[in-house]
Amino acid sequence: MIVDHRNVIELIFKKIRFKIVVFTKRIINMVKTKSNLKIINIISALLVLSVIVTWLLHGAEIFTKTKILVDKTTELDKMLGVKNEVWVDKFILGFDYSALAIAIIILTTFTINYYSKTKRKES
Amino acid sequence: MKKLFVSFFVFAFSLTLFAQGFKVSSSGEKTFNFTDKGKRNQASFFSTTPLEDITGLTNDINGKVSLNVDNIKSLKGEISVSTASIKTGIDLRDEHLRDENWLDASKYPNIKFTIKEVNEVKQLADNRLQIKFTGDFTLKGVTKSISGDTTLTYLVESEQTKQRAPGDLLGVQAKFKVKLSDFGVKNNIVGQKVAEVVEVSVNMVGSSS
Repeated sequence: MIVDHRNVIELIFKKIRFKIVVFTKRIINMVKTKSNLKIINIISALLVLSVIVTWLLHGAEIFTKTKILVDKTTELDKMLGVKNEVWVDKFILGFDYSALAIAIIILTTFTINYYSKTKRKES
Repeated sequence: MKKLFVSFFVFAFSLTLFAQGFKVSSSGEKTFNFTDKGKRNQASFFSTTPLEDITGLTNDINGKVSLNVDNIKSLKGEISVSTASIKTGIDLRDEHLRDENWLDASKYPNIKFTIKEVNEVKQLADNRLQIKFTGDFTLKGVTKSISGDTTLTYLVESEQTKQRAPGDLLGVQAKFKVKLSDFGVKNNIVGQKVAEVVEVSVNMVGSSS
């Protein structure tokens, strides 16, 4: 039975690997067939979108945090009328780093677009 | 002689009537130590502005409080907090919090509060009292009188309380407001505006052992 489970997991991994390879090859082909700029723009837009989604999922905080407060109040604490919160290491993406990441993505995309168009004109 | 006895009893009765305290099996003068090796005691400040809410918290609390279990108005003591141990969740902001423009932790390593007076007492339960207190708050070398509210909970030593510390336990939940400019603190950290008045909260448990 254990061997069967391993086979199933191996098959799933093989399928995932195959799909990744096919997807990568498609992108390489699209880049080769002059639609590279379009691809870069789409990838950039997706990256910007993913940064925004991550920022929203992290609570749309203004400043990036490296620690969060976690409630560790015990029954005895409640009996004593006190609460107990502790700092726990956790990365919370804020608007500051999100905006910086988005700015870098947009600037890079713009630069690539600009140089590609200039090269085409020259050729 | 009879009149003297009567007046003495009336006086003693009025004292027990007006002296408010915990109605627990322990009695008499007790001193509670708030230095917790487990670092579960905490003091925090909360600042709210349109830009961001900031919470600063420390577990480095030291101090002793003494009281007569039967008369809470006898409450006296001093609690201190290590300035450098306050954390806000952002390492860079913590550094700025410690520097000389803000709390100046190297020059003023402790923030202190000395209880001076208990003004109002409200009995919430046999072992729980709500009081209004006045005391001296020292921040960045400046001492000012501050008033606040606190809830005190008394637990007589039991198997459950021994998990936290030996002896009777006193739970303190206190809140008071601090105007930063009164203590020479500039209310901005790395360009982020901090509220002019911050709310300070204390959640701590002291043991009488």
